Amino acid sequence: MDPNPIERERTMSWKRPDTFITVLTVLLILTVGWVDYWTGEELSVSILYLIPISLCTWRISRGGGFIIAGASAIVWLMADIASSHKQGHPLVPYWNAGILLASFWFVVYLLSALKALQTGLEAKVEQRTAALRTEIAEHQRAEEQLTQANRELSQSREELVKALSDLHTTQLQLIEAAKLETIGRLAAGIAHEVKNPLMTITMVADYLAGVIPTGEPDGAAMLQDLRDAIQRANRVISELLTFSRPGEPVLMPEDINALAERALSMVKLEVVRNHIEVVRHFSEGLVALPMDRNKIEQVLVNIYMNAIQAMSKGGTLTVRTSLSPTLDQGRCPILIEIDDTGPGIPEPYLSKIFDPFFTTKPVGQGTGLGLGVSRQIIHLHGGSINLRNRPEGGVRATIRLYSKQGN
Amino acid sequence: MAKKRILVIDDEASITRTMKVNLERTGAYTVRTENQGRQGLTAAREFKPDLILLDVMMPDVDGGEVATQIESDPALKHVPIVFLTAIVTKEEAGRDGQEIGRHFFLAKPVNLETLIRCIEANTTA
Repeated sequence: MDPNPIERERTMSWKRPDTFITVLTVLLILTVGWVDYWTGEELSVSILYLIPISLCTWRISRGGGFIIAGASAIVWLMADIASSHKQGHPLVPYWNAGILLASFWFVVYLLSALKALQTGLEAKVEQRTAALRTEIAEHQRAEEQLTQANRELSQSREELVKALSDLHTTQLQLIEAAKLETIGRLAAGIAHEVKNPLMTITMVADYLAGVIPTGEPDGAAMLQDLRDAIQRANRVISELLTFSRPGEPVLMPEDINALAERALSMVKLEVVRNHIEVVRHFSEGLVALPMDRNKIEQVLVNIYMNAIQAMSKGGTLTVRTSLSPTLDQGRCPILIEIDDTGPGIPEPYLSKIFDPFFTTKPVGQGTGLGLGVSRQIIHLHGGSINLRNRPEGGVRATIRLYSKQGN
Repeated sequence: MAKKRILVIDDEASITRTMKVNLERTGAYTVRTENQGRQGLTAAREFKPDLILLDVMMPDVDGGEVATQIESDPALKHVPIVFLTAIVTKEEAGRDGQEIGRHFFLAKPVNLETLIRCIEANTTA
């Protein structure tokens, strides 16, 4: 089995310099011996032997240190014998060499003890480092698991919030559907009961038109009032029917600018009567969108009429068409914005304006179905409509319509 | 020029009466009216109309059934039928009558001018 990579690296790093250290140690001993010979009895030179001894002990091993210490003592003895001129007992050099050898060995012992201590400490540090690394790795793993768990939890939460929102939307749709179903049933019944009398009244009006003398101004005026009343009652019933079952739109590519203009011509009389100035900002080159011309005209007339009725003392009706610069549902919608300069919609009413039968108009002027019908028609075209108060006053109606392939 | 024969079948007597008066006042039409589907069928066989104005929702035999029986009668199947209905809007019916199959629809209330235009469009001179 392969040893620990750190241990292997350490062993290799120690083995490589062994030969070099040995050669260096031998050379150092010889050098010190040579210096010792030339300096004679200078005891301080003996300390120099500690250099190769320490080097060998520290870098190679204790055994090596003992051997080098022995070798140093022999070299010292040889140098001492060779350089000695003084008289004395012939065993003194051997005695000194013995003491020196003992001192050297003691140093070797001390150094090797220190070395062992250092190695032990290093091993402990390594062991502790490895343990810490393992611990850190485990912490990191645990942290990753925690992050993953958090992510999953967050995702679950988002899914839950979305599910809740979907549930709420579905609930609202169900309520709306139930409401529409009731209105639908009611509308069909009312339509039959109201439109038949209206038919009779229409026929009577046509009859009266033929019998009232031409020069009778009151008769003509009353006849016109009668026809207006029929038209109004019929509009209420028709809007109710349209609201309850708007029907699938018949889609044909249409130029939105042309439709906006045609719808404007339908409210021309009201525009003149209420002293309204019409401002057009039609963008050129807008792509033709698949639309049900009659239904979109109905929506635009509805919105124009609301705007005009909000400016009974005059004002400016601005109609703007453009390609939205921002992506919405992955496409750039075509925007139709209709601004008026009327008093605006009171904030509490803003959330109710599309509700059936909700109206802020005086009795007899609005059915409360126009905006609801308009929204249904726009939704059938895959678009959206919203109304908001403009900061500068008045209301802005914004219709967004999308092409199928994107713009 | 011979007057065109128009049969009006509608359960509302006020409607059939006012339509008859208005159409006959033009001098171009002879109008017979019926207020029940079954009687309307009998009248159609006797009267041999150039066009039938037929209400959709009637209590005994409704407009759809009357139309089916007229279509299955070899002597009447060529007679154009214009349905008058109270449960579609003017937009759904079209301005001068929406053609569905070989029949036409007019949404009530319809004025005399539109009625005459529709009759003329669906009868030969």
